[in-house]
Amino acid sequence: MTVSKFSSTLDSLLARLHWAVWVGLGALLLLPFVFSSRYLVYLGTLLVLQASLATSLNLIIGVAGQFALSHAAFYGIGAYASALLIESAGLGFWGSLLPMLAIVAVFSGAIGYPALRYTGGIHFALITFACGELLRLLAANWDDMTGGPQGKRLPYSPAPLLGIDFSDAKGLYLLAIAVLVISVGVVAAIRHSRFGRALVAIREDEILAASLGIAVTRHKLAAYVLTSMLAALAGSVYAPFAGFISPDLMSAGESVALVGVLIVGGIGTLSGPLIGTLIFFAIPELLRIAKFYRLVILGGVLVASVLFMPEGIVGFFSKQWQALRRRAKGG
Amino acid sequence: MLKLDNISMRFDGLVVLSNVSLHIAAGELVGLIGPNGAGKTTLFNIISGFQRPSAGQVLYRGEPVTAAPPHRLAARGMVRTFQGARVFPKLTVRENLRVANHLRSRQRDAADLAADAMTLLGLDRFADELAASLPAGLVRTLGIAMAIATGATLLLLDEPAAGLSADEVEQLRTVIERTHAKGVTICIIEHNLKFLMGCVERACVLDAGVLIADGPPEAITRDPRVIEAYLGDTFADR
Amino acid sequence: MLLDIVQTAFDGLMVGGLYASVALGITLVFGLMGILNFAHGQMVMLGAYIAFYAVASGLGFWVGTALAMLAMGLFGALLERAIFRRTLVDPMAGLTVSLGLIMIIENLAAAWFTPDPRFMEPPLSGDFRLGPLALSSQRLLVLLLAAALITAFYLFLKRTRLGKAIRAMAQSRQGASLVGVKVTRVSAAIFMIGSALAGAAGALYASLFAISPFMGNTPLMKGFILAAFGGLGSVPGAIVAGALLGLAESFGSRYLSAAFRDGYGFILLILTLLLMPNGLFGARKGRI
Repeated sequence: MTVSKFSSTLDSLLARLHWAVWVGLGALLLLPFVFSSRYLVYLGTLLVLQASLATSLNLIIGVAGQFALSHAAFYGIGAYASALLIESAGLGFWGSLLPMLAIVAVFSGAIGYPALRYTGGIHFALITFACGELLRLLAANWDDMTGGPQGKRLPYSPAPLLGIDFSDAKGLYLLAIAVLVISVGVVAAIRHSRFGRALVAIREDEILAASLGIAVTRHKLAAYVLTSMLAALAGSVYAPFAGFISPDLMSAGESVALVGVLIVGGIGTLSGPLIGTLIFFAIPELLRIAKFYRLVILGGVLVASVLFMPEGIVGFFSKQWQALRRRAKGG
Repeated sequence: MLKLDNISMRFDGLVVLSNVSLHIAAGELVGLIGPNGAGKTTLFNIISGFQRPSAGQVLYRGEPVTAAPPHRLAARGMVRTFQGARVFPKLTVRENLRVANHLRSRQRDAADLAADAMTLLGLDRFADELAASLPAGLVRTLGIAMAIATGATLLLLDEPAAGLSADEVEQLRTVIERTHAKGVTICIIEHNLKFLMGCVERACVLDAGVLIADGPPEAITRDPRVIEAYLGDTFADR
Repeated sequence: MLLDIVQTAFDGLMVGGLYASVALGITLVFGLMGILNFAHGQMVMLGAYIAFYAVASGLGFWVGTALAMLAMGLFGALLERAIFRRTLVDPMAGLTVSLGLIMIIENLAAAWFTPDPRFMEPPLSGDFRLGPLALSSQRLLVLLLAAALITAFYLFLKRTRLGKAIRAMAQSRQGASLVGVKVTRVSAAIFMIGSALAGAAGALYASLFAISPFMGNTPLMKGFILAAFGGLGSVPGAIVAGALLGLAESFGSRYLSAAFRDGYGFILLILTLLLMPNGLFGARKGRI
């Protein structure tokens, strides 16, 4: 084989491997339908929602490079806001979506605008952490509205749409998949857009980006608001799925776990959050390791990832692949 | 096009700039020189919106822009480069230029502008290379290409020739002349006086924050105050 | 009425002293090394449990507190050496690693100690009478001990060689190494001392409140609030901020809403970061 033939074979092999990962993930999604086990559907829905959260978090952390620790809080806000809109305002599930997203946009904008005026991660990380906790405390203390720290039972489910019945587990699983698809779609679209390129530039070097005409704060804010809205969307599906919401959903620990998922899977890549979610949640769940030890292992994986593989699993392989590709092209 | 009105800058008790007033007309090719620490880069920072002066006004195309943020000035056509080669090292050359293109990318001539800049500076071969893997001189060139690719009408170049070989300096001169010929106003901070004086039509000299001279190169090099400011050292070249 | 106010103020200062002990470790580590160590709160938790078991096994409160300080000091030094030293290049990596550490430590503790809250026998009981005032003796002891620790630390910074090296590093890392300060050794010392203080704070905390494996997060957050409010890297800042936060919480809980107690601190943190990013004492903003 000549050199050029070898390199083009390698190239197509690697491209095929990339496809294989996505096909594999797609196949996993279909498992609950194939096996018809209640447990699988339940686990699947939970995982899919977590994967959506990880994907949307990737937008602000991976693409825009801003370390936000308020993601779980907005997940909870989405659940609470949509539940409240349905119960108190009498809107249906579908009708509550837009108002809920609007509320979240306002909240995240109010938090993000002053927080993002600073260059650099630490201030933003602390402010989003504190705001997230404040929101949780709000949910825990506003007893009349939110049911207080014990949480709230939710008896509703979304009305049927497009002929699909959402009052049963499989229907909700489909809804969760829809949220995942939307999240992945939005992030993918942004990555290939002018907006996405600007975010990457901001992540790499804010000052240089500003000197080239990019409105830095505006872009960061847009990414943060969008990210938070996607988290809330997932939250609005979690509510009818779990039938119960509590302020624990919103804890900083959950936000931290999401960051862990991103790091393990690979920040900035598209499949990274999905693989990270599998590793972080599915594997321990399936291995039935006792709850606390599970988290110990995850913590250990996180520490090891940061120290030894900072780009995460997918990022690591992606880099190797790209380096190989370049070497192959160079002949 | 650009007017500086009594710009002063004080920082922690230190006077960095003192009543600097300056005017650059559209289409000019001006040099800004002076010994180290004279305040040249600070002046650029103030003009381009990265720093606010303690006193004074910056007027761009007649409008006061002293408080304007850098991205807004870039949108109005004023772009600066940074000392040392500042690009996006983890992006390829092509991607770097695409970012530089951000402002124009909604217009039809966007891709052309980027491609032109790439060709103008001889970077075509390296289009898909990571900026970090380029030799230093080329990185510097990329930085300038990016500034040009924004479609700027006023370019502020901060020490573009520093660290370049003699050949690269010649190339740089050609690039500057060609860009100037297209009607772009250019102001260059430079230490390499031989290069600069052969390039610009007019030079402003800054010493310890004060503008001490402003005129054609020949007059400047003979000005006793300028010679004193440099203590004759840099002129030993000639 | 006056009695009430004094009581509330006293409570506030006591709690503030505890918070400040925790904040000192955070503010120094961040100010000097640029690392936001989220796992610092775990030192408090572990210190509390060490004291608890010491008391339960008959060794007594004082031995327990000393053990807590010693153990946490060593643990902190170990963490610095094994982990944080490697993340100096990228402060965000340090933050993230500390998040992983929280998960490990917190959940190992939950698995070993069980997640139920525990109560420790405090060494003192009853009230201390000062005229019309009746102050809880144990709380008074805690206030005095916290104040003693903080004062000792402050003197250490001012008088000892190591303390001076730390202050030099706070001003300029490069400058300090140029004059011969062993930067890595000083960094290890900072971690060690900060952790020991946190361990002591944990032991003190255990003498007053119930402890649980998840108790580390509250002092952690309070520590961040103080560090940011006082100025990252500033020791006097953390101390003054501690007093102020303690008082704010105490008065807020007494006269406004007790359930929202933690919220006052978060609000303070947010306001500080937005309006006064350099904190009260405007210490160096820290590498971002």
